[in-house]
Amino acid sequence: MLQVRGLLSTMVLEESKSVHNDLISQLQNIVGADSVVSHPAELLVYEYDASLDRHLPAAVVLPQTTQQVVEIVKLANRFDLPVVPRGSGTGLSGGAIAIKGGIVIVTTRMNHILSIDYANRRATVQPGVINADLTHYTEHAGFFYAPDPSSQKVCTIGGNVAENSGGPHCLSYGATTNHILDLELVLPTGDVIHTSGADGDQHGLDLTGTVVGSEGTFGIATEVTVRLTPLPEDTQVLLAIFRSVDEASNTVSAIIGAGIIPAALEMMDGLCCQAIEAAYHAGYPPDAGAVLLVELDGLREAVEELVDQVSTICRNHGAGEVRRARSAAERAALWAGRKGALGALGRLAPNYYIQDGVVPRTKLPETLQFVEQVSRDIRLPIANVFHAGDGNLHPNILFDRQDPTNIERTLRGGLEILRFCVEKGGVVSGEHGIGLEKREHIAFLYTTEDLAVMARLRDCFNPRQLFNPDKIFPPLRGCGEVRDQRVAARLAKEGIYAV
Amino acid sequence: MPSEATPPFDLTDFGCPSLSGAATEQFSIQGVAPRVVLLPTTEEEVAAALKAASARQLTLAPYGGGTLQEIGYPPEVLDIVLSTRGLNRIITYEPADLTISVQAGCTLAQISAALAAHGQMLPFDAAGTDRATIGGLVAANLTGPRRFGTGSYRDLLIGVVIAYADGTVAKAGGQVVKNVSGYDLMKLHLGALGTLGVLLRLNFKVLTQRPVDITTVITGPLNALLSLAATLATSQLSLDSIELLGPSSLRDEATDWRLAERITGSQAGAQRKLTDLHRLADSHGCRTTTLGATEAQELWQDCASFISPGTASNEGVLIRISVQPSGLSNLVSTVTSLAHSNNLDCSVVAHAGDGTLFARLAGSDLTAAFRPLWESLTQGHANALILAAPGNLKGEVNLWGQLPSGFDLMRRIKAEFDPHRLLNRGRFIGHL
Amino acid sequence: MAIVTAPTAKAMGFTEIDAPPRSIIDRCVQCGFCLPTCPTYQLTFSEASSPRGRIHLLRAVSDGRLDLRAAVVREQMYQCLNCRACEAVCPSGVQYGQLVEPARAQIEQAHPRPLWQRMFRTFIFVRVFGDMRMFRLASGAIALYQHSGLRTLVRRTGMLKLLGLDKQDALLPEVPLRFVIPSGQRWQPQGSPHHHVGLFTGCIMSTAFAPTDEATARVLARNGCEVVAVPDQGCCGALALHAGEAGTGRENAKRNIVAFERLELDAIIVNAAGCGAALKEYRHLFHGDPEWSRRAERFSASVRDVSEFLDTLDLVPPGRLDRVVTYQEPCHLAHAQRITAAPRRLLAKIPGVRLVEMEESSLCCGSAGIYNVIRPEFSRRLLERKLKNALQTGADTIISANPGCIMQVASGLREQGKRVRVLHIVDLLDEAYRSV
Repeated sequence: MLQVRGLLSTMVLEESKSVHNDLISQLQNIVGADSVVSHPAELLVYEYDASLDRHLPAAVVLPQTTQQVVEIVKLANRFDLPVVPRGSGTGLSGGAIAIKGGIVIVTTRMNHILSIDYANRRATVQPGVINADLTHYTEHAGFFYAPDPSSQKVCTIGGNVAENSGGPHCLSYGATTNHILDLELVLPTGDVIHTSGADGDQHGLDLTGTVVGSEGTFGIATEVTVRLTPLPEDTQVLLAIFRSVDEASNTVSAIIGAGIIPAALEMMDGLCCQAIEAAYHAGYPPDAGAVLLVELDGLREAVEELVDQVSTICRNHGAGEVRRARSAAERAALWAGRKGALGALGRLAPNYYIQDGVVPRTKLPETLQFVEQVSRDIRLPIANVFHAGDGNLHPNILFDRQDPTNIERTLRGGLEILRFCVEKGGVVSGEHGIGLEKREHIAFLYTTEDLAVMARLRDCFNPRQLFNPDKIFPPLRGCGEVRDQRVAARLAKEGIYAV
Repeated sequence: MPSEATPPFDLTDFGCPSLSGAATEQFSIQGVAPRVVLLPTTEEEVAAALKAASARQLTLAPYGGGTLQEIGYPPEVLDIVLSTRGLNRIITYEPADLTISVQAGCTLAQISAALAAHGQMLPFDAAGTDRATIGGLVAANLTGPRRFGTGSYRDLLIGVVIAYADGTVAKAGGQVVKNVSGYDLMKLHLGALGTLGVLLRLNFKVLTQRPVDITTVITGPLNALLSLAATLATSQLSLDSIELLGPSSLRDEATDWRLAERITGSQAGAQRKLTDLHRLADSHGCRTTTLGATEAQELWQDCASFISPGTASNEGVLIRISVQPSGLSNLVSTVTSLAHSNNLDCSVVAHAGDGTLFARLAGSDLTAAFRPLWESLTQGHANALILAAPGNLKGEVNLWGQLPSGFDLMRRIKAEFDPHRLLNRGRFIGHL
Repeated sequence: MAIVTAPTAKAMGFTEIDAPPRSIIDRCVQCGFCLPTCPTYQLTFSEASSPRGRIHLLRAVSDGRLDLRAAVVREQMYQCLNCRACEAVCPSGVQYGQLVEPARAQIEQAHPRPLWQRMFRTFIFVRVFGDMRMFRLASGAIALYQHSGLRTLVRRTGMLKLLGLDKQDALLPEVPLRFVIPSGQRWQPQGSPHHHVGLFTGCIMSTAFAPTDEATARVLARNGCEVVAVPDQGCCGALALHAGEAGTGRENAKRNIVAFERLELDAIIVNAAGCGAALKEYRHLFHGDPEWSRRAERFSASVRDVSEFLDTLDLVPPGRLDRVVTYQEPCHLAHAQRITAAPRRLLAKIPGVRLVEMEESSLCCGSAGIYNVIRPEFSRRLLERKLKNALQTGADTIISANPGCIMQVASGLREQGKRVRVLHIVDLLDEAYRSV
């Protein structure tokens, strides 16, 4: 998982150069020369996303219309080439890595908001529209797009659809799937369907709900109709400061147990506070054991009550201080710190390995104790920053990929944490998806029968397994990368050396 | 209570109690009686029964409380009814986690009672909650007034265990409130009318009962009510329900158009909502009344009954048409005027915030009068469904209106999971 | 890392001296937060044109997987505006600017330009920008060309179009006939001075923008500063550094450090954002040279942008100006120096001035040093975007704080025939004080 996979695609490049040239020229016919990337050196920048895996595609294409996508997919079928949809490449599970080479369809140029309809609380957008832009363009009218992954200023709506992205505010507003009304979907066969009825509701099977979160294995969405939500009248943010992770996690259980579902309920441990503070100067206490960031929203009167209730619960569970953000700017600063937390970890170590396990919320305290124990066992620091209200952990194991012993310990630590989550009635991914990174871990959770049913569903959409192959499902062991010296020689001419 | 009549086929390897003969009549689906009724009490028994049925290519229909069996086409062939009422255990309920795991045959009343003991709830509006099973409700996905503000089955179902047609048992989702591990198979079975598998177990996230639960009824001219509904739906008040009630739609026989709201929250929060609601209603020239607790309960129960097929086919046709909320005004006038011009009595209820209209139509020559109405309503791929209709009418029209563009895919999914069309044969969209 | 073997000898990597620091490359965790802030990514939506992509290319070169001479490396290192918007948002704190300049220097070394190009670059960076007398001579020539009627004549003949120089001609600012020649001249405050500051006069600022230099001195003096135009200073060296001419840049730096060290000053005031950023980062030029590192460090510590400095003073109330203004943030002020609030606070202190914020106020205008000359197409598209955002505000004056931006935006406005003014923020302040 942490290894850099073979530089060379096993696909077209292994074939003769002329097949590759043929593919490229046909792609260029569809989208124009400046929307096809085929030079090996230029493909390098599409070998990664925000996860740890890497693999080079054979070609990258940046279409602008549904029709172009259809033609690309049909072409891929003729060439029998994998297709990997990609948005901004901020995924944390390797969903956009072309692990079997093939064509990467990048949606970043399909970035138009096609319509905004406040009366019906919806907008229709192309998949490359940036999540935060939707809110930016609708908040003046009193609306927003609720799912807010930490990468929301970068990630695309299409990517969110593929991953069923979460974010802090999913606690009360629901994840992406609760906000998608309809998709225009190009199926792996090249057929185009709408997944809902004209009104944006289920008509027949709930294809929309089935497709959201399918990680690019069911097709590629070319238009997305999303629900817009009225902005709350009032929003308050509390920062509760604790001596220990234990106190903070007990507080989370207490808040939820009291039946209070805040708009967001986030926890950061001391290590994270230090990294965030270094990066953002947002007011996170670097000497705290842990903090809770609690957002409460709704009508003014209701929010005031909640602020009191939550503050009291925090104090009763050991919070030394409960700060209330006094202005929109202070709120924004606290959130910027929270949302930049992952990247800020780059200040603590060259690499981090983020886990995304979920446990029932009453199991949070013991799970976090276990994480601490794992950190001691593997002798690597683990920084926790996560959606505590959902029980969605993000332990980040800090390591250096240049050190091979580090990698082994990192992987072992991650594995143990996920196993523990599953033992406690939890799951292996809450919002990042399975992709490449957790395709072995998914077997902790599901039996072969469970997975076989999922695979059968995939085959209904994607019978030739052309779309995003080798994702989600546990890989067949022993199928090592095939490498071809002829390709290496060809790439060497271009200034790339297979290593 | 095994029956004494001779079973029509050998039931020994089905491994669970069964009924045959006259006793099967009470499990008829739209007038079609099964040859055998199976009464499993464990999930294993359900799986074994499916496996046995599959081996002999016998058609089968899962059956909960029978409250929604009017939905869909009549079964093409019905060998076995598989009653899920024996699967009635609450598996786990951890109030502090706000999650519950129940077997499919639990009734909504049973689950609600367990939750209420801890001040929690599932906001599902259904008729006959003491009979309606949670499995059947999810399979029908007939959502009620509270879908608008509190969410419904789709929003709260977090895990399932399913027995597929060949007897395979597989789970999806889990017991946590946030999960993207693997595909969202919960959605696949939601509203699939049990045509892809038999629900065995369902996990939900549950909600906390709010301290205050008020119902208001607003009266005024229809246009004013619709405009008010649009304002409320896009406001920050986050009402639980905004329900349009047509004249004579409910048991109270009120003859005006009304807009009913359900308001929940803390004392201060609900009071504020109420104040704003009054102000907005006044500004639309409408009058607001707050109902007493009993009246309120009756009103919402009536709404749930109105949108439930129940035995509606004896009385007429019940249709559901979904449009974008702004299209509701046109839809109401289209439906009422089409009904009028076809000499049909028509009463309507609509989830105004969602744009979902339910209409009950009755008249002397129902079949002849309804067909042109349905054809005009379903032009242009409207999302429409006949929830209940007399048997002869069901044979003549498409219950789901025009087929959606994803229908081929739906057919492939059906073929994959139930290649011999054993589960509820012919009952779902496009006679799947 | 099992599959990665030793780098092949054939891929040319970085030479060790002055290579883009691996420690900075390794800080990038590829989160992608930089993408939406990058002007070139906003134009292409192509990963290679993003900071994350460019860092990955450098990583590949550093790993021996990609040849330093590959076309994509040169293309991307020079397509980059070095506006450093990415740095300001990077949660990991990747100092991207510290990668681009060494990378360009390595490219120049590894892939020598043809002799005539090298000679031309030497002439420009060493002879013209390296020597203020030459620079003033060249600027004087331009001023003469503009004021003598020669330009009118030349334009009429159409020979510029023929030579492909018409765009360059349009970019030229109106060069005044009087320059600021730093020779120890002083501006005295009324009453006793509270601060003693040195004015960094700059190259373009002291010639084409000489009135702005004078306005800067007047505004400072008005606010209790004794201002001295320190003699023997020269160009800051930023242009040479951005172009990969590290040696020349270092010479410029040394000269300025020496010039300013001689005086006891409370602050060194600079009014060009690009120069300010360079002056504040002189220490990066002297890795491995403790003596000069120390001197550079001390020099940089006293450098203040004029807005930054004025913002710390109890400002003498300016006079009233009835203007609707919008603020175009110079990249090297907003991103490299992270100064965003100070200019806005200053504008708010001028009675009658109403600031209407434009969309994307911190997105590069496309000027970026000599970028508008070497990448006219990208530059033009960024400029059009900037003008659209600026004009949408309905402002009558666009305020900026960097000569490059001012020239770029002004030329765009001229071309579109718009009667909107572009002013340096101190010009507006100076005007306000004069209106008292």
